[in-house]
Order: sequence, then C-alpha cells, then structure tokens
Amino acid sequence: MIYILPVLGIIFGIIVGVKSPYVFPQAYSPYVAIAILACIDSVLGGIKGMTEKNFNISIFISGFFGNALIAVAMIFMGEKLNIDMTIAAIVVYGSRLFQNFAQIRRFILNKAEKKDNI
Amino acid sequence: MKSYKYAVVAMTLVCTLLGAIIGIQFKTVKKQPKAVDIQRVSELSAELKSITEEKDALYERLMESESKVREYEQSQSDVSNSVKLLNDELEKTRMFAGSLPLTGRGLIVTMSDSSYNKQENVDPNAYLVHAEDILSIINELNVAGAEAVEINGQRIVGTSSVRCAGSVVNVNGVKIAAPFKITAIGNPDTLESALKMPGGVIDSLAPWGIQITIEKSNSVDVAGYTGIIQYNEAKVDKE
Repeated sequence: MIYILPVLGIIFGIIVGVKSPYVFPQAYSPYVAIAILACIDSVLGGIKGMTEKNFNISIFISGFFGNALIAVAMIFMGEKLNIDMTIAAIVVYGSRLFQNFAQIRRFILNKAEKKDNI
Repeated sequence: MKSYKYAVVAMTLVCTLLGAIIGIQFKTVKKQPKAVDIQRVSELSAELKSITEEKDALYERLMESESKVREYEQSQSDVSNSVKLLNDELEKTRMFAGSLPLTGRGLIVTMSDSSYNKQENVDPNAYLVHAEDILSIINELNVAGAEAVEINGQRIVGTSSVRCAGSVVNVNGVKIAAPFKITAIGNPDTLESALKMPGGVIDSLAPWGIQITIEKSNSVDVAGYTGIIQYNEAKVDKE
C-alpha cells in the first residue's frame, strides 16, 4: 500500500508546519490561502492523472508550483486593478477540486467493485 | 494502473510541502487579531472607570498639596520683608504663567451647535462647532487684549492646544463637548466689539446657525492652568 505515503506526507507536513516557529506575514495571508487552494487542486489533479494513466511527473511538479504562482499573481494584479480576484480563484479552483475528487472517487469505487466481481 | 512508484515519491514530497504550508497558514490565521468581543468591551470600560476614579483621586491630592504649599508660603511670608517681596514676585510670575485662578471684568461667550434643520447635500459637519471656530474666537479675544481666557474650565496658556477629537474638542488634553463656554478677562466692550466686528468671527459662523451668545459681566472667574509645563529641551539663551 504505497499509495498511503502522500497522506502520511501531508499529515507530517501539517504537524511540522504547526510546530515550526515560522508564521507568514499577516499581509500575505490571503495570497497563501489561494496558493494552498491551487496546490490542493494540483495534487488532486495529479492523482486523477494517475487514475487515467496519463500522469507525467514534470507536468505535475510544474503545475503544482505554476498554479500557485499564477493564483497569487492574479490576486495581486486584481488588488492593483481594484477587482476582487480572490472569488474567481476560489470558484475555479474549488469547482475543479470537486470534479477531480469525483473522478478519483469513481475510479476507486469502480476498482473495488471489479475486485468483488472476481 | 501502471506502477507509479516514482510518482508516489514525488507526490509524497509535494504533499509534505503542501502540509507544511497549510500548517503555517493555520497558525497565521489563528494569530490574526479577532474582533473585540462584548466581554472585552465591558472589561475595558470597567478598567477605564477605575482609572478615571484613580485620576480624580490623584487630582484631589494634587490640589491638597498645592493648598499646603500655599499655606507654607503664607506662613513664611510673615517672617521677613524680603520673603514677602519674593512671594509677591512668585505670585506675579504664577499669574503670568496662568497657573492662578483670576477674576475680573470680562465676558462669557457661549457657542453651541446649530439647531437648524440639516439640509440635504450639505455636510452635517458644517453645523457643528469646530476646534478651528474656537481657536478663531480665542485669537480674536487675544487680539482685543484679553488677559486670561478659559474654555469650559480649561485655561488657555502658552502651551495650550485646542484640537478636534472626533465628536468632542480636546483642550489641554481634556475632552470637552458643546456647548463651549469661553470666559475671557479684559475690557468687556473691546472684547465684544472685536468679536462682533462686521465680517468677523461671529459673522462668518452665523450662516451655519451656530448659536453664539455674548454676556458681559463685571466679574468673571477664570480657572488656573492645572497641567504641568515641562522644559526638557529648552534652555535659557544667555547671549
């Protein structure tokens, strides 16, 4: 069950983050929140890619960092142009997150059913 | 599903990084100052009340000590003539500094906010008495030779300040609210005519309906300055 490793990784990461003495500057808090959303979306996208057997590690890594950067840049620009881009990012990443999750769920459940059939 | 062992390693690393960011963000959000809740407000107001009481008690003690000092001075003045002279000098200096309560001929100017119906499209601020209005009245009184000026019990001395502080006015660091009672000692007729001069202060405030009444009197009382004047930076230039 090697696939449990990422889950352990995320739990380990949260513990490390909470225990660490570092705190983001208060002003960057909204940017970090959006970056986290983008990263979660990328991770779920990667898992979805695995289920569809077209996972590509470079696409995954570049997407992980690229999405976060673009999300932050978009909100930064929005702030300069006086538009609240946060909502756009939340809606887009949020809906994609749910779609990706739905696909993963379907894949896992289908696999389980097939096993039962055998 | 083909083996994604290498991918799982990458995924684990990325997830750890993501988790760390999430963890730090948790802490950041937790540290964000929350809105002041009701309990805090009541706590603060209780604290304010006790501090105000303490301040009043201290003020009383200050007054006591001052009267004691005055008593000592009085008893000392009997000792000799030179001490008496010095005492007179001290009294004069105190009067000059504004720390003594004074009485004499003068007038009382009362300013209150406008009772006009507020018109639409006009800034409601225009109907209120502002620190600037008070300052211009004080200025006019001083020009006309007022010897001592006080606003609602706050004596105006060399270091006095009059400034806007939200809905009230801060004079010598003490908040006072409308109606403002400006008491001035000086020739009542000169002072009155200085204020009522055509195009003068009162004329400029009249369109806004700010109510100004001037009451001449043969005996008005002006309180002494109770604050402390400290010279930390200034020295006497002996050249």
